[in-house]
Amino acid sequence: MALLLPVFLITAAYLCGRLLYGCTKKRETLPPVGETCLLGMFALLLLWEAMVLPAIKLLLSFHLLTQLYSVALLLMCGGGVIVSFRHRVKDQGKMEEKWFSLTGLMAVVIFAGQVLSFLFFYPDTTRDMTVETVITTLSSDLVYENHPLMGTTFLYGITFRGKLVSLPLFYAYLAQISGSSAVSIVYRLAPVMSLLLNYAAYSLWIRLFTEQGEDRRRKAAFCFLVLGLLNLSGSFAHDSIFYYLIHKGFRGETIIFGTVLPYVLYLCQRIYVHNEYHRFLFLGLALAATVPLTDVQRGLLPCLIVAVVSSLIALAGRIGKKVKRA
Amino acid sequence: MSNMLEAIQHAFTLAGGTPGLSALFLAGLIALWYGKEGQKNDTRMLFHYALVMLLVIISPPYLYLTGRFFQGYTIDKMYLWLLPLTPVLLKVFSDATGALKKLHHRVLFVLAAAALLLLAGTTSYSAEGWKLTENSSYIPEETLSVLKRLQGIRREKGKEEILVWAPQDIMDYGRRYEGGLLFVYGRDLWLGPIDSEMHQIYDQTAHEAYAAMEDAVAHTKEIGKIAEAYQCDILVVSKERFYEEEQPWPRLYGNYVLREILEENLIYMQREVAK
Repeated sequence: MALLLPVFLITAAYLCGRLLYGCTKKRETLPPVGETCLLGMFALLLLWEAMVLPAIKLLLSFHLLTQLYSVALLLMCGGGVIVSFRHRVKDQGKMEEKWFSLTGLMAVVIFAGQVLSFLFFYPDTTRDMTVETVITTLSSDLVYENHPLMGTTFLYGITFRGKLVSLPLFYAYLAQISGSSAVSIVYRLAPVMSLLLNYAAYSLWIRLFTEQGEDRRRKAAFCFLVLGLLNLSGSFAHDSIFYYLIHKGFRGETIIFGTVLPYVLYLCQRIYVHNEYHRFLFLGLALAATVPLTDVQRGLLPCLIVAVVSSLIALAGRIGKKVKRA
Repeated sequence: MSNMLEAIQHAFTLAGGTPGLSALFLAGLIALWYGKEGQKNDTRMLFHYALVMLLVIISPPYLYLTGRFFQGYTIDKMYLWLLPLTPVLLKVFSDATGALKKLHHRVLFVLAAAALLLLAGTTSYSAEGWKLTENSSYIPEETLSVLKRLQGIRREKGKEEILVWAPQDIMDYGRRYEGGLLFVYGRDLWLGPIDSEMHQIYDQTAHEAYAAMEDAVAHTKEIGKIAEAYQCDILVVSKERFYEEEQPWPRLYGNYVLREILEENLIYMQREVAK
């Protein structure tokens, strides 16, 4: 079951992403798979957050919370299936041919090497208690009531801002529905998902860089190879995002700096350079999705900085153009 | 002045991860600047964003503020990752490979790029962080065998939870192994707060308990009393004391009676409740 979890998560994220795309005015066009999965994953996390907060307030058991979330998830996936079905004919017309190249194969091998590292090497668990939180939640059936490192409520408290971070509870949910151990979910599945999301975010950049000109697929394959090599070669350097991707993939900060941040920058490019203003909705969703991932200083704030700096650059560019014309 | 220059250099190196990757980013930025006039607006915006972020993170006011208020925090380093290293490198490599038409040129370029990236990443592959796992639990084998035994004891007793007091090595991994093992204090006692939003108040007794357990040989009597006060079900202590002074094994730790030798240097004791 644990092996099927990534497939289940990607499928659920894709369907939820299709549902979201169906809510925009651009629903007639086929969205990129990477972006659909990213948006879907953000939606899944936000839905989880929306259910966790009332559950904490009402002191609901974790078991009941997972049941309610599973129902909501099924409804969203059902909506996604309907949206996908309605645009099925148009989608098929736009399917691109399959491609194969030696560079592409090398990129896949590098990706597989990163995935294998999660299985064979110790993750960096310095000052981390994600697994303990997952195990405590599952064994106590309570949400953020017991101290993860002791298992008891001995003079222990967690702030409201701390309770907003629901990523460890999401891992607990995955462990509950799959019957897998917390260690498998946190140290194996979560880094794989984090890496996939990283690739999904950069696939959009690669698409942006290669959408014009010849040999698009060959260039894209080479870019994926560069991305994999960067992740591997940088993973030896402590305090770099590449190290976090390989050794701390289960942490919220890794998803923020490895996925959400590049995606926010990409969205700003699309909004201000290509005038795709419907993407403001996605930008809002991406910024909101930082809340369940990690605390505000490491999640929402850096993403806001990226959005604000990009907006200011775009504004300065437009003012500059008007001055030139005048 | 020299301190500030050092701080700028350090911040720039950290932003890329390694000096090589930072240098590669700088080269990529120059390449973007060189090619931006003939390029689309995408390149221009990426270039301007990268330039602004670079100038901010190496600016003296930024370095002064982070050095003064966030020194030692990981958040300080994480803000350096706002630099768009990967998009800049992807753009440069994508354009470079697009300019090559002949097959052998492309093959050579792919090999050269791979070598460049690997060498820029690090020059030392013996860096910390890569350690092979000993088992699927991601817990060192010695500790795991003790934890397995403690789990077995809990099951034998037919209890959902048992309160354990053990040396740091065991308590470090205990909650990562099984939810049924409760501990008298957590890792945050000796490491300090692990999460800034999670607050655990440890009283003086907990600190004394930690000090006594980590120097069990010198605190035989105290350990028995503290364990009794916490009403621990299981006590795991170093066995060195018994061999050194040839003391009788049972009841050495108050009401705790020796049951088993767990590992080379550990014994397991169980509380004997008076009938």
